[in-house]
Amino acid sequence: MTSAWFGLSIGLSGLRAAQTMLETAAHNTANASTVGYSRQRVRLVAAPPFSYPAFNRSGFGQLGTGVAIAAVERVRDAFLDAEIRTQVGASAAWATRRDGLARVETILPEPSTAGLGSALARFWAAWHDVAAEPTSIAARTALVEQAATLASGINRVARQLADLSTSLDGELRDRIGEVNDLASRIATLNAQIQRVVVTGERANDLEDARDRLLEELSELVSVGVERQADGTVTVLVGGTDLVSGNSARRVVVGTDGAGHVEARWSWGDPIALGTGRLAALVELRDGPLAAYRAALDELAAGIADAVNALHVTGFDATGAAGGAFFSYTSGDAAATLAVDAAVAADPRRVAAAAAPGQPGDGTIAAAIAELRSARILAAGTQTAADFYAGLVGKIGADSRSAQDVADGQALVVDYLRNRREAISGVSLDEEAADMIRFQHAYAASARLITAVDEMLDTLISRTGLVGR
Amino acid sequence: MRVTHQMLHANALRALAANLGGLDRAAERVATARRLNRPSDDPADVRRAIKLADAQAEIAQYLRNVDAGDRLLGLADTALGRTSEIVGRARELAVAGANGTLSAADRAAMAAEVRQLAEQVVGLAATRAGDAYIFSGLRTDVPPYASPTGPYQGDSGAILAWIGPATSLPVNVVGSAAFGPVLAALDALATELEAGGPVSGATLTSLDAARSAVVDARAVVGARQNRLELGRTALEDARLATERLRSMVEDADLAEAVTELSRREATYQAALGVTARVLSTSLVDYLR
Repeated sequence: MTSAWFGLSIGLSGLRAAQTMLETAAHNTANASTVGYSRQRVRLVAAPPFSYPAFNRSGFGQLGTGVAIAAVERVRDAFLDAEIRTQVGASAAWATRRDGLARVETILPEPSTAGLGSALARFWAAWHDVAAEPTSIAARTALVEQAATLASGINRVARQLADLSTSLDGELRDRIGEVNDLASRIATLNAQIQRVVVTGERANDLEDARDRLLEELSELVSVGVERQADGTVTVLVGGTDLVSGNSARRVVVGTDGAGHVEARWSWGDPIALGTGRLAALVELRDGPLAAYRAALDELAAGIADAVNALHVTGFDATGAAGGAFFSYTSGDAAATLAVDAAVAADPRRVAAAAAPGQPGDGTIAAAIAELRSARILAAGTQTAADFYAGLVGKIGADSRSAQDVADGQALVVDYLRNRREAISGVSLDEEAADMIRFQHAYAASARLITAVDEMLDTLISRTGLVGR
Repeated sequence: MRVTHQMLHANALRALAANLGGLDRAAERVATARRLNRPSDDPADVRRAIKLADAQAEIAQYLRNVDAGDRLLGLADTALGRTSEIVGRARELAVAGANGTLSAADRAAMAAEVRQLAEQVVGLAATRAGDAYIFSGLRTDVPPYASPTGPYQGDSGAILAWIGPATSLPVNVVGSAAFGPVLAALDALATELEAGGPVSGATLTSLDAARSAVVDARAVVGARQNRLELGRTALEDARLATERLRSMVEDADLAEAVTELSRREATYQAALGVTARVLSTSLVDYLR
């Protein structure tokens, strides 16, 4: 026979369990909106049973001793986390590319009457006006103005593309700083979690925080995450451990051959960035942006060379042989294109005539005007307008496909996050229903204690009074 | 699947943002009346639009060239018309001068008038467009004749009007061909009158020849004006066709754009309503 007090201790274990579960529900509800929080659940087990001592084992066997709290666990799917880390990297990379290309589009706002396309059309037209009236100083001045407008338009686009490239370098530098910050915070959390885990407990909330940082880090670079027995994670970037235990390596800002920013390990090797914002910035800078800048250089040099080649065969209004019409620095044509200083200073130096002493002749001016439809670019396969339209079309197509892929990739991430939310998210309805359940459990345990109390009262106060 | 309020909230926000984005794009199309506002709106059509704009500018320039050529030919026609009248007047004087009964004073007066007419012809030959002499060939910096008896100072170069790709036509009349015979005939007439003799048949013939040279030149001018006119018509047609094509590529179909805008608006309103209803309830609202 068990002690009369035994029922009290079972009731007490029920009260404690109900109270702990209610507190966990409160913690869940309070964190319903916390980013990265995983709902927690109290895992209960029946307390170790009590073998009823007896001489004769034909009795009723073991007796339950109440409930025990095995653990407070977080509900989380580690495989889903790994998949989300891969996909947020791709999503962030495409979003970076989309945003960068949208900036390129604002530099070349076409179709428009203010873009390079119409400056180019007006430039050719101005040559026709000179051809029609070679003796008119007004027409020559207008031509020089139009040519200067075209040149400065190309200069402006070249400068803005160069600025964009520089600002991508700046962003890369900032993002490298973020990687270092995240790595050291993960190392700090590793240390805190390790201290909890060695005591045999679970560090639910700290692990949530660390998972969130890992996800942020994987937006920047591709990371491999290995869980260790001591509760820490090892974070691998390109096969090298960025974070191991409570220590993190620093990523340093280096300079590559072209003078651009590059992410390196402290011993000088470039880092294999995988997929993410960092890689997208590098790829955008060295891929599409560099190609657009090269195309713009080709356009500027192509126009200048074709115009100059004809211009030097002509004669100007003073009867002198024509010089160069445009000047530029080779290798940096788009940024340095300008109307030749001599022509800009004196519009009479525009060589419109095919022979000296024929001021009424506009043959050369007309021939230059007809360059509009000559295939002077892309190794003699495209006109200037074709080439420019092709460049703008390429930018548009690149930007469009980046938008589409970024949208699609965002949907994948949204889907995965929804799945994770379905598993780990806090449901207020669920918590409210649980609250009622736990409240009732608490009340029932309390009532049990009252029953035992009454039993004891019967035993203590009313027993042994027979015959009194 | 377990659905949480956080999930509802995130999904609703995402849907609202997507709807709002669509609404923004539809509003932009209506506000700008253009379907192409940046290269990525439709890369292939943006490429076409740029080329069409270039073609349009090219056609507009050829039309300007036609106008410039027309102006030159018009000036030449007027000058030649006046010259033709002068030759006519000279011929009247020559016919009168062929009559032997005139007094010496009359002949002197007639000779003076002929010299005067020759000066007028020199003046007409020095017609300018802007500051360019139009009858001096490519030597537009000098007048064709300094004096009625002086040599032709210009050359025989052709001033060309470019009225299409690789299509040009001369829009000037070489002064020596149109005015040379006139000045020579007028000089011969005046010399004969001053000498006091009757005007010879040869002079009358040369006046007729001079007149037909002027008429021929005018005929050429007229023919070229016709060619310019034909060119203008073709260019105007091309301009309209290009404009229509460009409008089709670049401009928004307003009816469609406005319909799209209303549809987007309705969707957005509906999304807002649903979101407000879904987000406001949970079990907590129903517990005592």
